[in-house]
Amino acid sequence: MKIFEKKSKKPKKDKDLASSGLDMLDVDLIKDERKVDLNWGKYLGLIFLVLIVSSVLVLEFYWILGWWESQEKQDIDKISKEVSLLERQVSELRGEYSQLTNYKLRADIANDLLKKHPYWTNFFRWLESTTLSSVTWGSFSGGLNGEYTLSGNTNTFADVSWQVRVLLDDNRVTSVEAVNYSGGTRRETIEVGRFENEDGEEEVITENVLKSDVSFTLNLKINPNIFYNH
Amino acid sequence: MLELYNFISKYFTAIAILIIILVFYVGYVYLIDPKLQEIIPEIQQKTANQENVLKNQREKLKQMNENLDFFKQMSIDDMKRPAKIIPDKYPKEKLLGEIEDLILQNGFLFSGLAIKHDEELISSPNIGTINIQFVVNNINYAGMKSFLNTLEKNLPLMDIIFLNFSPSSENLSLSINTYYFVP
Repeated sequence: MKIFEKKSKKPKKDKDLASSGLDMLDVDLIKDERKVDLNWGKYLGLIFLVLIVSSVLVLEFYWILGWWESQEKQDIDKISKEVSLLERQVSELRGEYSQLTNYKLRADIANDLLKKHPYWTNFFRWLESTTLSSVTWGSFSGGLNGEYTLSGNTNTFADVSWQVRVLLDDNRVTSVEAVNYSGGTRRETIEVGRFENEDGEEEVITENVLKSDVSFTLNLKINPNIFYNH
Repeated sequence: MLELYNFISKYFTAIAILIIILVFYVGYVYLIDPKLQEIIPEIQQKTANQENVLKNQREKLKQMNENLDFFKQMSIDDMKRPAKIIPDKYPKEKLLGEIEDLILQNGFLFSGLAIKHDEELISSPNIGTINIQFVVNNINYAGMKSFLNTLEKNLPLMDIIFLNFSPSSENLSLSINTYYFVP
């Protein structure tokens, strides 16, 4: 847009000029010249419009955020309702379930007790398998700790030694000790047969034999796992 | 004034864009961002919490239903078995009567049958223990093994915790623990 200079003021005495033939000088030499139109209202209006539109956009985004927030809260409420529904179902089952809980608790305890239930027959079966045929046990005493005292009888001291060795060879035995030996030999008359003599009387045939007898006490320590079935 | 007007008219588009950016910036800093800072953590936390609770409740319900289905499919014998192993507390004279029956059914005599302790164990709050001690007379080694076998298989469970056997006097001293359920 061009900026034009203002027109020069007309001569005060136009009529004089016309009459003098000088009016021809009052000619617009720049034909396109126009008056400057400072249209502030247009630009202010546009700026105002831009402000309004952009503010509306911002507010709209703010409103969308609020809407999104409410949507999310609705979703949370839906989840909460579902949780409440599940809680109701759980509480409805709770009565029936308490029987099961009680059963399960008792079953777990029973299972635990069964695992720890000692089987003494295991122990005596093992003792039989590790006892020499010449040894007899007179008494037995003990608990579940694996430590026992047995009183035994046999024919010779060698048998006691063999018995100790057999027990030591067993991997369940942690220690074995024979104590309180006592024993000796004696002559004993034993019956070997009977017959009828010529008079018809019964006679007994006897024989004198040498007999030995050894008594001892055995202190035995074994792994207590022998009592439990695994 | 004319120069300002010229400037505005010349750069009006740029000025308009600048105004938009400024409004957006101010709107973001003073309106949008505080709102985002307020709602996003709250929503995230609430959603995570609720989803976690929901997941736990679903698993709990599923587990309960599975267990109940399993429980309902069990035979009556299986259901009664734990109660046979560890019954509710019942009168002591009934317990002593059961032991008396066990001894007499095997053809032995007894003496000194008595309850020594009756207590709830500290190690497990749901187990009560009764300790019984007695002497079985007229019993040999084979009889002892047979009697021990009977006790081991007996329900309610009986744990022999101490044993003293004397074949010469045909005496078997026993200390037995039996248990009852404390709900």
